[in-house]
Amino acid sequence: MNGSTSSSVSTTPAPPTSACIDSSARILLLPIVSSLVWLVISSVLALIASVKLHSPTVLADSSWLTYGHTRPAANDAFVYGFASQAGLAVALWILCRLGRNTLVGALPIAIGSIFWNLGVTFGLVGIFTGHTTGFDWLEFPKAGSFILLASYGVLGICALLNFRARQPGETYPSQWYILAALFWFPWLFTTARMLLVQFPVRGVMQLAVSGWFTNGLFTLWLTSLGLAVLLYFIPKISQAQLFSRSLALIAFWSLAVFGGWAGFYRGLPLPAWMISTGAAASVVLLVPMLATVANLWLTMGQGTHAKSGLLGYFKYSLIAFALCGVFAVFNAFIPQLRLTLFGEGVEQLFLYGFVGLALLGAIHYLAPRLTGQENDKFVCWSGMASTFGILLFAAAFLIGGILQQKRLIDGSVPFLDVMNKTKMFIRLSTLGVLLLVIGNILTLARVLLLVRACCQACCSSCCSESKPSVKLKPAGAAR
Amino acid sequence: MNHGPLIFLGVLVTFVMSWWGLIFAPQVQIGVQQNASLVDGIYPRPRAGLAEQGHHVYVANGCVQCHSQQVRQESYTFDVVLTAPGTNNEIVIRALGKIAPGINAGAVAAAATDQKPQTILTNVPQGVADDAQARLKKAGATAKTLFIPLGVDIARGWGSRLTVAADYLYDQPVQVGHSRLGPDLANYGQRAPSTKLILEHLYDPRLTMDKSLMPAHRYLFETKPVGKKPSPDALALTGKFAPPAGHEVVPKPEALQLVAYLQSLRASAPLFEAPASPAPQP
Repeated sequence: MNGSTSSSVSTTPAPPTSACIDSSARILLLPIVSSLVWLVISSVLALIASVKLHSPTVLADSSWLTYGHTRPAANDAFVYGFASQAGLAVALWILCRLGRNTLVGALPIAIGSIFWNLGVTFGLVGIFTGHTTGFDWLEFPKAGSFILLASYGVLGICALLNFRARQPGETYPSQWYILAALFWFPWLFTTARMLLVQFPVRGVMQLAVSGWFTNGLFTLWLTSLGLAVLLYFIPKISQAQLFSRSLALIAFWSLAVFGGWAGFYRGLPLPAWMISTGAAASVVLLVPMLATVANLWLTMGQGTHAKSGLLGYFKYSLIAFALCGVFAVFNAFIPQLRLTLFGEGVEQLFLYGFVGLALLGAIHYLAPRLTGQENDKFVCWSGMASTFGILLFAAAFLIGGILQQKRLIDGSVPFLDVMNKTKMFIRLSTLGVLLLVIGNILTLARVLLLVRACCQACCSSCCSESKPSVKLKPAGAAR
Repeated sequence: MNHGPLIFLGVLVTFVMSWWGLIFAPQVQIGVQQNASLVDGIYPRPRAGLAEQGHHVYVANGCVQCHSQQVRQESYTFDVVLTAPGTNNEIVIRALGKIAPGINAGAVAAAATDQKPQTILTNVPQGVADDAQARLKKAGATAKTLFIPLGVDIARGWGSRLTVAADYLYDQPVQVGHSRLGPDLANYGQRAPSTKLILEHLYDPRLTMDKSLMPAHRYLFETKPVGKKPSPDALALTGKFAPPAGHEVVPKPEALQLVAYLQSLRASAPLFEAPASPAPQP
């Protein structure tokens, strides 16, 4: 199928049709389905961790499932298993669609994706068995990290090749973000791993490196992936032109210039100038946030408002992105707040709210097109569950965190009471995580149903028309 | 913006800038930091073997997910104490009366020694403290100005001063933490109860604190049949925490290492960049 389409491209100058690109990118279902499996695993682990926060005797005899293991495992399964993998897959598809080229390098992508999953598995087993490196978001031990990085090399190069294979013409903001993210991630990851684990720097320098990495992972890598998705899908679904290319340009470059500087907050035992730089950068980062939000909001306003259930995913994702930018400033300036539930609430709002909803919306859009099947089952329900889940979770943690901070800075309240008075919020957040689990399972179910239908359609056409299939193939590709 | 190389170049330059600013520059500034020389030796000292192993247990079990190791200081104030009244009692008493009219100058001057410094002024700004010290020096007495760090963490008893870079020189990986679901542990070694109580707290925190939300770490312990005679370090558990009859709960080596590490946690030595005065009363 690939051969026939690429040969048609070389003989005729007309770019391939969208359907043609989609069917050439069918291999992306592999990273997408596996990323959804990781998403379900991550949310189940988050559920266990959440229950343990208010009922500490649950599962206390298992060293694998202690809070200190489940919490980082849930986070890493989300960031590396789901967000990075699905983000790369969606990014590849966006590159193909925007560049109007069929997918280049299907086989390496498949191999890269398999090894990526192997890396995440090794990494998570390492965390559960206590072989963590001890640094946030970089917990994967040696084996997991190396496999991850090697397979990233393959996937990243494939993505670059796809960017190169584009038809000549003006590039779109999504392409800028994807291209930048493709470089940022390996640089961040290798620098941090080298300086923290392979040739560790001394003392609090580790804190500087790990803070720089965490911030880069969120503000450069994940934000870029999320914004690439939003900038592509919001105009597409609301059927409007992007409101302003210059606003997108300002947002992109201000993020690139200042994105790497935030991340340090008051109270860390670091030189004062680093803390001030971090706080200042978190304020300056409101510029790309506001520019992007205004740009996309106005785009939505211009749109014809086609009643598509998927727009909700991207809209709420955009709102979560805006809120995270504002809360980051709170975190940087209000003493103790970063150390309460608030800090984690912002983190999860960013991950599940902004990145998660954007990618889930994209996956719901991609899945029927990649499989060539129709099935709208669960889209509405999973969207509602995911949105309300993250809303409940984030609200509980943010409000609980603020109350906790109020009590913490009042030295007369004993610490035990501070924690026990936030129990109610933690229970609410458990409910939120439960909703997230349900939403994630529904999404996985829908995509699996589509894949099954696709396989059945493929098999039946092969079995029933085994002999003339050679002749029919080009027709199938054109469809 | 239509050329890949342009974007690549821009991204590379911005990335290298942030690397230069936040990794390279601090490495030059604090990466080569050496131990401080204090009156009673160098600070910090490398941990003893068992505690160092305990650090790995602490890391492996993700204790950092709930416990921070950072004490914050929001402001500071000064106290002035008299350590020796000198020889001219009358002038000293007059000076004391001027500095702090509220105190019983005679009794203070009589009682002041190096071992029992008498507080003259509390909670004053630096200028006032310096002034008082100068006046007393003129009168022939010896006074000291004490630096008193203030802050919520310090009020909670989590430390006597803020934590600074020097405190973490021997930590690999550094476990400063990002969350305070549990109390700060930067100075746990100073306030730690006996080994037995820490072990009980690890086995099930509800043993020592009724309302604790800390997860139980029973997997760090072994429940085994009692041998010919009970193990010396078996936990004394009663009631609902008791093991089945004929069994005893013994800490695994990891538990003992972890306790040794927890007991080694103290970041309180007064440093140039983080002065603190020894607490006058325990």
